[in-house]
Amino acid sequence: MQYQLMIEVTSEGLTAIYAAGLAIGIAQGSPSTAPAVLWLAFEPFRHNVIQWSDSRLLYAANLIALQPGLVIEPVAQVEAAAGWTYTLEQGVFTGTPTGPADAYGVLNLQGSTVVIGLEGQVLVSGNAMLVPMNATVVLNVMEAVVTPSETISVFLVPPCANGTILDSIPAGAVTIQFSNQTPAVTIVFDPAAMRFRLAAHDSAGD
Amino acid sequence: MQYQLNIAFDDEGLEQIYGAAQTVTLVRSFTSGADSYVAWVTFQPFENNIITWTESYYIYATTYPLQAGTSLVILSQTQEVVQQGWTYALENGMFVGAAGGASNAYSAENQQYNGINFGLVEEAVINGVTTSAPINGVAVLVNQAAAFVPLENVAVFLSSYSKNGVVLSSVPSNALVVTFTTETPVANVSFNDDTNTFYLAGTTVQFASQADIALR
Repeated sequence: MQYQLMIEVTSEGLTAIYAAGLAIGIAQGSPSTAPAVLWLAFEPFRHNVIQWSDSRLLYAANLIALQPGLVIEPVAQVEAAAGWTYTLEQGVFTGTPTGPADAYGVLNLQGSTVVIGLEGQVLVSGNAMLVPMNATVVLNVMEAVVTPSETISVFLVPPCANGTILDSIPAGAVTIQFSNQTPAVTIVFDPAAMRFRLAAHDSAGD
Repeated sequence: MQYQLNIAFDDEGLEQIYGAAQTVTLVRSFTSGADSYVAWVTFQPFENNIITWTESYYIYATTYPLQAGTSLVILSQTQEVVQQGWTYALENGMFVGAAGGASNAYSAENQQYNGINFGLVEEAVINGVTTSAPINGVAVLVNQAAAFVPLENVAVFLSSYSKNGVVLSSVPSNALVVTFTTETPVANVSFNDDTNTFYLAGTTVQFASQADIALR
């Protein structure tokens, strides 16, 4: 399944965003998500096109806590299939075809605490990148379930690296639930409110 | 100055083109400022086709890569038609123009960041339908400028591309290049079914309407 988010910003909006020294941030989840992972942060144009699919990679990173401000840098990855469980051992994921339906099971046999999550491949206005979308701490010899989601939030953020851990998604973020029925959404930036909102012709709720 | 390209096909030619899922493709030429060929216009032809345009351009920016097959998406463009002898700087995601730059060129400057491509956008009216698409693309590093000098030459050929603004690896050697001037602003082109190429049926100074061409 392919998804597309169009973000339209007027000249007035661009002026306001750049004058405030901010960028557009996108994260999986809603304002209740804390901590969150900043999937993307970018300096906007008038038209901005974000495209991605629902295929995911499972990653592991050498972190012991989701400390805001840190940037997640995956050290192990595997193409993940929902319903499988992946064992991390000696820095390598090994999958077995049993596990939670519609999610990814993980068993940490690495010998230390790690951060596990899903990475999404995304095209940001034509540029391909692979960035962590979510994260969870998994203690040694513990199991975890990583659940994919196509709910994302869009907000303004100080410029920082993709994959940065955030305290939470800001309360003023616009949240969009992508699905088979809603694979493409357009949002616009309201410079008076300094936040995003759905374009008038889209039906998804915020 | 307005230019007009009239392209005629017979039914056999149309059958061949549609059977092979080809489109009529137009590419503009430059003396400066075109690292990549871009399919300005692609369309499915009728028996008689009229393409018109004027010498007016916008400057655009995109981060879509200049790789063959990429359909360039205009992320920002100048709000007004650009002028020769002016330079349009991309800053804060939008263009701001100021006098300066080569007097015979349309100039663009990157004040944003590396990885942005610039070019010209030109409107065309194809059989009465107005479209607007990139006609070239150049990578411009931050704090660098590019100067665009388009020619009123149009290469006409068949391709399998269906979108305007697609980056091409090359223009086929058998493309017909039509040169327009103020003395010859109109060109009549026909399609040769045997060679699947276009040929020049003549250049004139008279603009033809769709009805005029239908009578030929």
